[in-house]
Amino acid sequence: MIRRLFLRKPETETLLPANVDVDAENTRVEVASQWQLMWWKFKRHKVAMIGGIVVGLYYLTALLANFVAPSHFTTYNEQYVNAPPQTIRLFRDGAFAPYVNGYKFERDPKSFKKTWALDTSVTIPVGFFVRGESYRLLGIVPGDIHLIGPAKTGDPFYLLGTDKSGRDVFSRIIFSSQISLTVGLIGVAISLILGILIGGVSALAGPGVDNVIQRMIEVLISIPTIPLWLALAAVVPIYWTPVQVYFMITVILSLVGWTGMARVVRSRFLALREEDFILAATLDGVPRGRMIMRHMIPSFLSHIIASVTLSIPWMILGETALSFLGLGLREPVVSWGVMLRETQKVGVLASFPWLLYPAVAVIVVVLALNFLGDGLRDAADPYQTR
Amino acid sequence: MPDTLIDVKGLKIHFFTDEGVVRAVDGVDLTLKRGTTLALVGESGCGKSVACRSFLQIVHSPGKIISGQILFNPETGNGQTDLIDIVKLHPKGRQIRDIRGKEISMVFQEPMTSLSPMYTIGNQIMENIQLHSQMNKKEARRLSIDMLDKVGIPRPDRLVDEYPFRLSGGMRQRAMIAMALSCNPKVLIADEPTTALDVTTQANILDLMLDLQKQYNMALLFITHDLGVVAEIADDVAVMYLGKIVERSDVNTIFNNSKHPYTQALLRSIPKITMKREELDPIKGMVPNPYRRPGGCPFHPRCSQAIPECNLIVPAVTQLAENHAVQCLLYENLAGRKAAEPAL
Amino acid sequence: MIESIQPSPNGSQLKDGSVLLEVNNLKMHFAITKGIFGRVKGFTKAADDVSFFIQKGETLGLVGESGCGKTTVGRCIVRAYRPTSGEILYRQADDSVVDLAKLRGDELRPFRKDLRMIFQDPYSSLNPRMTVFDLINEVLKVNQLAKPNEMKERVEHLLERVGMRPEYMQRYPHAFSGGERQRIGIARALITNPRLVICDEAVSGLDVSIRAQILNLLEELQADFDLTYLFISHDLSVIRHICDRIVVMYVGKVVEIADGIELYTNPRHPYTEALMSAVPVINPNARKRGARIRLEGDIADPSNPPAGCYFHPRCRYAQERCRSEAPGLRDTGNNHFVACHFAEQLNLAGVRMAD
Repeated sequence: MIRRLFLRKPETETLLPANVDVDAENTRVEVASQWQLMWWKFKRHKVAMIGGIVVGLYYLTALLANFVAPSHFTTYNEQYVNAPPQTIRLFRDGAFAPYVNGYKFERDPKSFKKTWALDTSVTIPVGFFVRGESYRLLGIVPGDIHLIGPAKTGDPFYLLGTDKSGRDVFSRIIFSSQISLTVGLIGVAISLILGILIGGVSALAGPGVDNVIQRMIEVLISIPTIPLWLALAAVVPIYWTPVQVYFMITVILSLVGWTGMARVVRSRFLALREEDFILAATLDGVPRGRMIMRHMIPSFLSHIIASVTLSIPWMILGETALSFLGLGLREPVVSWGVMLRETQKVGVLASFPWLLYPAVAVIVVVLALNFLGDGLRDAADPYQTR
Repeated sequence: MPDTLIDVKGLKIHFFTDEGVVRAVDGVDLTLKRGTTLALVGESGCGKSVACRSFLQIVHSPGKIISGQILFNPETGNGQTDLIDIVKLHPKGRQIRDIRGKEISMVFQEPMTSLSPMYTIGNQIMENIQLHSQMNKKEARRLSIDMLDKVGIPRPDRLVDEYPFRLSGGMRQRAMIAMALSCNPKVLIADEPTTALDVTTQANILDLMLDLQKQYNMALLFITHDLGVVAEIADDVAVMYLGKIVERSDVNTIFNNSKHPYTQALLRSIPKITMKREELDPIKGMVPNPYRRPGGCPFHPRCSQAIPECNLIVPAVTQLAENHAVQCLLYENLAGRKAAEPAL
Repeated sequence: MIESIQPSPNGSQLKDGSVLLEVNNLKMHFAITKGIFGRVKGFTKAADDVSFFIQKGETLGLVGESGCGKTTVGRCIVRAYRPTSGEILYRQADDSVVDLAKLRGDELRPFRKDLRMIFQDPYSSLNPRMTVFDLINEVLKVNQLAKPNEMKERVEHLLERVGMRPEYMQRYPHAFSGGERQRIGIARALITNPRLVICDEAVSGLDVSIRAQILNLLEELQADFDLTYLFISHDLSVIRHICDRIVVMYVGKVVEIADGIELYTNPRHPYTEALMSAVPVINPNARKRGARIRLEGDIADPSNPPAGCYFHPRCRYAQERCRSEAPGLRDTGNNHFVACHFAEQLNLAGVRMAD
């Protein structure tokens, strides 16, 4: 039941009901800002929420890589080269006591080579928050506790196997996230700034400039990306440090990535120009700068966020591809693309298929980012239903 | 002679949305008779469009017809036994598709969005014809040109091959009418067909529709919010508010002797071209949020004649005369009395 | 400050202290471009040689159908567009006259507070990302028209005056209905105490029962704030109700100007006659079906208008002269201006007033 109070205005004689809403929920909707409405709409999109959680976990892992991974990405043990993954078993003799199996040497019946295989007779207890290699979290905080690892330090613990140098694939996948996920962010940030600037100028500086910029964009995007990257990557000097190469990669990726954002931004500005509320602001005398920053950009900021979220996976895939082809990052830096370089030979892949796990990591995060971006894009216009 | 073509009883259509259930149509009774025009009047959100779309089972999701009957008389000659209840037909089924475009046709408000931009006018009319008859392409084209001529489109033999974007708003609306009438329907539903048109074009389209109604002896259900249009063309009028028909009668009674406070208030609040300038008498308040309907009578918070019971009791339909029904507590107790005059 | 020294087609009204705004020979032509280089193919003559004046304190109606240019004229006056040619003479508070059409860029700034606009669509005229307070306050902020500590009070006071609760200042537009949004739009227009308000189809986008509320509000505010209105609409009933004098436009041209009741009962232009005849009357006993004037054909295309009088192809009284010679706006006495060669000879039917 809604109680209404009627206010009689002495001058106007018009009865105006004042809605005194006892219902708090409705007041919530009415005072909600655009961001709150967007959040509420986003929450209903279950798949996007899951995507968001997954992405969150990925970035958290990247931040705490030292802690999550059982060993450092450079740590190797020449004893356990190309060892297969040790699956965790949770129950032993009916009790909850996670463990993995140990290794034994075997002769491959076909190639007569010595390979590692799992030895079910050997049990290695698994612990959580165990002591292990010491590290400096984020380069600052020292520690030696790891999220998961062998209960007895020193036991072999390779959840996803080892590579040809005896390094733990699982740990390397985790450390790779630091590079692969941040290349995406920096690249997107650059694309975003370039895109907004160039898109904005294109939309607002008049038809002549607009024409030139749009044609330029069309030329850029018609160049096939992979050969373009190859060409740009070939320009990177061999003697550059991994860090320098890292930044070069992000710049290369964003040099082509900005075009998508620029077109989106331009079309948003152009559409806004026709809106009555922008005309009203013009008639208020709002100067150009304030018009763009205060009146126009907030209008499509939510779309930008959605767009940005959808371009991060593109960057991740780009870096993975470049590094896979040997044109991006190289050893000793680790990224998913660098790890996948080892899988290029079919023979290797047939014998040691666990080396493909980095691809799974890529697929999962790209999917999660896409779901998240879709959810954000759908929620970006919270006023659509009204 | 049974000339009732559509008889609607207790129609209820609810929309099931994330924010709640909207009772868009909340118990509506209507009758459409051959050769007459029924105007369905109401403001935005009253449910008039939704109600009419249900006659062709084209209610948008998340809307659903949850109860009631829409009895259509196909006039096969067997009288009452052959009435089809449209509510029971499946929205994608064969039966309703046979009815759409052939027995009951509809014309919409925005001709640009209801005519496909991908096909010529002729193509679209021919499609309707060929769906419902055995004509071949040549005959259908001939008929299309005839229809375009009938609705007053100049050079129909040329315009039949034009695309909709070539025509003006008035012309497109005529083309839509031609398409709707191409199979000689018994009922034509027009959902605000002239609201988007200029007043001079509107006048021509209204005249056209009435001429055609006479020619085809159709029933015309005309939805609008413009009381002037209602006065011009209607024989009977049903006034809707928040999903209910608050008053239903012939056009003279509605304009000169209305009983429901909403109808009266509406008539008082509209500027009229013939009246002297004086202050308008507005209806106070606003149409309530459909998710927060008032209790009791939906109009009572804005009603200048409300009594305390209006908050609690939903008025039932009171038959004041043979062709005058009203849903208002002010009349409910009086309907039984013999020598009573409404004390207003 | 530019003073008008030449006599204008309307006579020397501007010297008359009661005129607030005078539009002389206003032309607004939009170029139609084609091709990748934007070659100009032709012009849409949205407003073509429009002249009229607005007196202080009156409500002048600007009426016509789609494509007549009424919205364009309104927007030229507030300088949303830069007119192709013509004068817009505005009398300021100190009695000096300035031609708004000649001003560029920042020169217009001082006039933004004097000439304000109320828009048609209450949904698209309020920025959904700004609070009601910010929307109304923006003009004050940007032009430094009030001290920061005064702004809140001023907005509160005005919101109350237009029938909204001041507490709603912090809400966003989506929280409000069409009628309420229009009240916010009205508050935004009036916050600067303007002298001229252009109402561009201010009630057309509202429900029928809300229109009366807003029309009454506009009339009250006019009295309270001493406002002058230019009321643009296609709805002849609304225009009849609120306007003192009316300008009728057709395809960019002014065809008739007259006082309210005079225009409706005694139109002198065939187009006005047809317009009056087309309006449905809210009285079933006064059905005009047989007697209505049917206009053949469609409204002329402003980018390709007919030769001579633009209305002649649809005019039942057209003569040879109409096909070749465009009529000018003439004074036919009683403050009644008509653009028709035969205005004096024709005996046109007006609206029958109710007794």
